[in-house]
Amino acid sequence: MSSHHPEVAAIINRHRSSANSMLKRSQSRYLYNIFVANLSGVFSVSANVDGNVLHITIDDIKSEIDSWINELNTFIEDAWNRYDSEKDESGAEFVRLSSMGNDILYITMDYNNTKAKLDEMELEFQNTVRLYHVPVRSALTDIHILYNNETGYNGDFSGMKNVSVYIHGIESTSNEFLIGATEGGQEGDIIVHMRRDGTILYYVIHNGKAVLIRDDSKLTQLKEEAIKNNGRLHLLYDTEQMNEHRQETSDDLARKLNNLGLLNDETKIDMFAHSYGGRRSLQFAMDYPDHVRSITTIGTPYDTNMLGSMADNVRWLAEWIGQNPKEASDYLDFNLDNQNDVDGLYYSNAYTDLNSEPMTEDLHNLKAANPEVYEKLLEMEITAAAGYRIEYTYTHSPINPQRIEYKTNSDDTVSVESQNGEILGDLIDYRPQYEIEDGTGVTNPSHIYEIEDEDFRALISEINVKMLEEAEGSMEK
Amino acid sequence: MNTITFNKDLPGKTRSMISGLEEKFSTLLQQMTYFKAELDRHHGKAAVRLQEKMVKNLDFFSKLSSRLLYFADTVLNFVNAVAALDSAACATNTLTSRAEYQYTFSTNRFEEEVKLTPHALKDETEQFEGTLIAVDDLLTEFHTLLNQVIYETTFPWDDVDASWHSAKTQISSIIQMAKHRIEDMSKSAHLLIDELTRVDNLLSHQMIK
Repeated sequence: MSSHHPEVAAIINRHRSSANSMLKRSQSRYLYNIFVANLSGVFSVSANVDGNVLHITIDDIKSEIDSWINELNTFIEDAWNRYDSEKDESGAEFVRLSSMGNDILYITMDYNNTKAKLDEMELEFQNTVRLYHVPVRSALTDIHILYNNETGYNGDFSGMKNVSVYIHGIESTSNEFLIGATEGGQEGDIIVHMRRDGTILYYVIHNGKAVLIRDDSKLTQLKEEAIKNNGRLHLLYDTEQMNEHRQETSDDLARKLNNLGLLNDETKIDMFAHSYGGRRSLQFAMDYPDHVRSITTIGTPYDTNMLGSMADNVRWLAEWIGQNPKEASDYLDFNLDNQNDVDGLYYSNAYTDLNSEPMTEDLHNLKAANPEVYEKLLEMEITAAAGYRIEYTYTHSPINPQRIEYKTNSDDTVSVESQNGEILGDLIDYRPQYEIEDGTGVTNPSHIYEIEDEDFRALISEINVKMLEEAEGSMEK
Repeated sequence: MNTITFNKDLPGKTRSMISGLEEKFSTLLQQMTYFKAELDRHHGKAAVRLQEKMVKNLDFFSKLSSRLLYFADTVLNFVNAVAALDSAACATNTLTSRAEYQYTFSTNRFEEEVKLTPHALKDETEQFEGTLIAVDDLLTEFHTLLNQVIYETTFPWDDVDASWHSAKTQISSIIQMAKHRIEDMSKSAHLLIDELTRVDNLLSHQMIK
């Protein structure tokens, strides 16, 4: 440690004392090591950090160091402001102030280096915190569900025994499901549209149309009628973050369904999903198998997906064509392959997932950890529908040129094989394939028209009716 | 980033508590499953009432054990990871998945494993009350520890932070429910043992004839 000018030494002595106080308060070994490595040229710290309680607020520590820098800069500025060259005939004061300025410059450099190291420390803490955020939150949700069940909690829709949940894919919302849910429902069914902006719209199906309910008392009355008539609740669900990872969706959906009073032994859920929404649905079914009765998907990339991989690997290009490959929640997967980062802050989202993991990976882990859940998945009715297009080619015969029709092996975005969940084997009960007439190519793929496709809408209707009939049948038995 | 606060001693305390609870919950579920299987063979009114109660209690304790332990284990692993990062040590993630916990305490799994033997009835009935007392004591300790975790810990997650204190109330409430059920089972334990022994004697008698 070099010797400092007495005035500067007095200031940094206060800083040393402040640093020791911070270490004493935080009891952080990491912080201690940063101070020792970066401030030893300025002062030495002596606080003991072997105490029991770790307490870190990195922002406060950085603010404190900022105040040190400020104090030194203000001190030297004031000194120069007070400097009068006429009174300093020998120039000694000028030399002293210059030397002090240099001294302060080196000290503030060390302080800034310390702050840079604190940024690295913060990033490391943030990444660790992200890793455990969702597991802790989902553990709390599980406790909340148990509590609601034991205390007979009444949510807004408690008593509804049949629920359809509609889940969208990446870069999307559940808006397009409104037609399918309306056609797939029955007179008097309630549709709840939980939108990303936090607003909730309520509809009732009347004469084959979704009629907006504007009045709370009307909603209560219609809800009671729907419960009495064993009607269905259709939940159009927007994920909080458009491109969030399926695990984040599963946890958020569980919280919302629990708050609505729909996660109980009586209520059974039929899930309908498009594209990545299918992975989200399957994740929910893996997490809450006792509540899910069926899953119906179209356009779902159950295998890894080339376009998803490209978007995750060449993010600037994906952004250029209007996608948001960096958009993510706080979720971070433990699987290192299912991670990406923005300036060192790690995240996992739908794109990292499509790039790294086929759905079989988590299913195999689940099967090993809990074979009962896998058995329950096998018992669910799972339909993995695929969209494809018809294209034409011509024979080059000069005598008899012919137009030949052929079926594409993808919906421009996801292969038929992946959509049909071939890799999931006997977990999938039905694998229908539908021709999608709209869209072509990667910029306007037929993939995005699948939700509104007539065949898929008919499938939603068919499954809703079938599940209701089976439930009524088993109740009669 | 917001504040992180926790007690560095927490991992040590929580780890032993989790192990103790895992063991006792397993024993409790095993004994309850055994009694349920025994009661399945009996058709007297008292046996049917006891059997219904046993089914409900089994379901409750199966969920309670997997959920409380998953919660404690995730908090423990998080604290371990932050503590390891702070001390520049290498963190080992030993987080048991939610699915794994559910399977460990699944009633179906216990039911598949249970084997009815005359010796088992005697052993299980003799130990049942002891298990109930042990679980009750451990739950009290666990509750104190969780209170400590919740009050002395700050996580930099807004949504978790928002539900942290209501979680404390709910956990307290669930633990109280568990204690009431244990108390109730303790009261019925004599009745249960008498009933099982009576019918068992009756069956042995019939077999001799």
